[in-house]
Amino acid sequence: MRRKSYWTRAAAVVMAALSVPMLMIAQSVVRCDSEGPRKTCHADTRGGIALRYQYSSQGCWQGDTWGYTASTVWVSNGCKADFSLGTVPHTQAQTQSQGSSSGDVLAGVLIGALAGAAISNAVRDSNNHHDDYDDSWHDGDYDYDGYRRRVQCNSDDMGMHECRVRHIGYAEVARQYSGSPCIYGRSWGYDRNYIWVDRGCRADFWVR
Amino acid sequence: MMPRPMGQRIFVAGLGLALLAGAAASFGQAAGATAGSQSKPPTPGMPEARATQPKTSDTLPGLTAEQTRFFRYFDRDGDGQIGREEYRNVIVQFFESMDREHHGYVTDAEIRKSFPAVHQGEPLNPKLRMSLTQFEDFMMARFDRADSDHTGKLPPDQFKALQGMPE
Repeated sequence: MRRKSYWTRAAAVVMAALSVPMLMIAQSVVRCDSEGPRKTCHADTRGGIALRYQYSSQGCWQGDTWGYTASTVWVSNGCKADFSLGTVPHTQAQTQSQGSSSGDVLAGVLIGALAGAAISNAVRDSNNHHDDYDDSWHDGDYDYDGYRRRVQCNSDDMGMHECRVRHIGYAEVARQYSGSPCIYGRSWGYDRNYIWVDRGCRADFWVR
Repeated sequence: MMPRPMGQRIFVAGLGLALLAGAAASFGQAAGATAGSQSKPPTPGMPEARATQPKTSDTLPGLTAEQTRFFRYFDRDGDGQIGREEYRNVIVQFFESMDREHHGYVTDAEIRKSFPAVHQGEPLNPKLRMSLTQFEDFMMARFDRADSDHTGKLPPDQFKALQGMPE
């Protein structure tokens, strides 16, 4: 009985020891996701913060669709991501990048050999498509996989402007031209049939 | 993390290539497509959004016109460099375009279906199941490796080296 008790306590000590680093790892990452409106997640960012993994094809752009305060991280417009808190850990990506195995070298050579042809073909093909479609564009026929259009909307006078765009399911900034920040929900946004910009935001938008 | 088998590493490298092809095609078509939004007269009081056509006449130092167009597809803020965030957003979008069933990973078959021009031959790894986080790890590792001066941004020459873009 005494022997069993000893091993039980020993196992408990080992489990406790293992749980400490696991807990620390868990606390160093915060997942925050939004379905549209801004969502705020509690996070102590005083030691630093970095986006670790992005899970959404909806863009995660710092200052536009994600950001942070000392005690929170926020996301909006569909951004979903894991954020590393504190001293940013040595990521898998960084660890891998230090390697130079023969396989990795070979992979690099392979990319180098094939990328040229692929890019040239892709650009040429896209140019051909452009020519083909030049006179027959209509909604839904815009681009790759038919899911993105690019349009521009400007708040030239620092005031609110609405730009008509049909059938918007999702939009994000493709290229910001203004010095004034474009922040989703504050200086730009969208509804089903228009994009609005305000406070000097001038940008191209991807729309799908 | 255990190193991946060479076959998988090569295959993943192929993913990067597929990304390039898809991104370039997307850019070209998207840029041209925007003319469509001009076809309907604007509603009074609500102007039609202006279609955009990114400048393609100016080439960046060390890049051809095609490479410049491709580079600008990533360059959201137009600062002439590709940031980690700009790079990450593009690769995540293309992962989703490959993951057609939205099950959170891509298979050999899905990749070859998405980019048939890249993988016309036999599959390199029929059992491949690559998650988004694995894909991000690999692609961001390539970015970090190209970012030799640790600025978090790739100027055109480093970006070209990263992707093995041809002269």
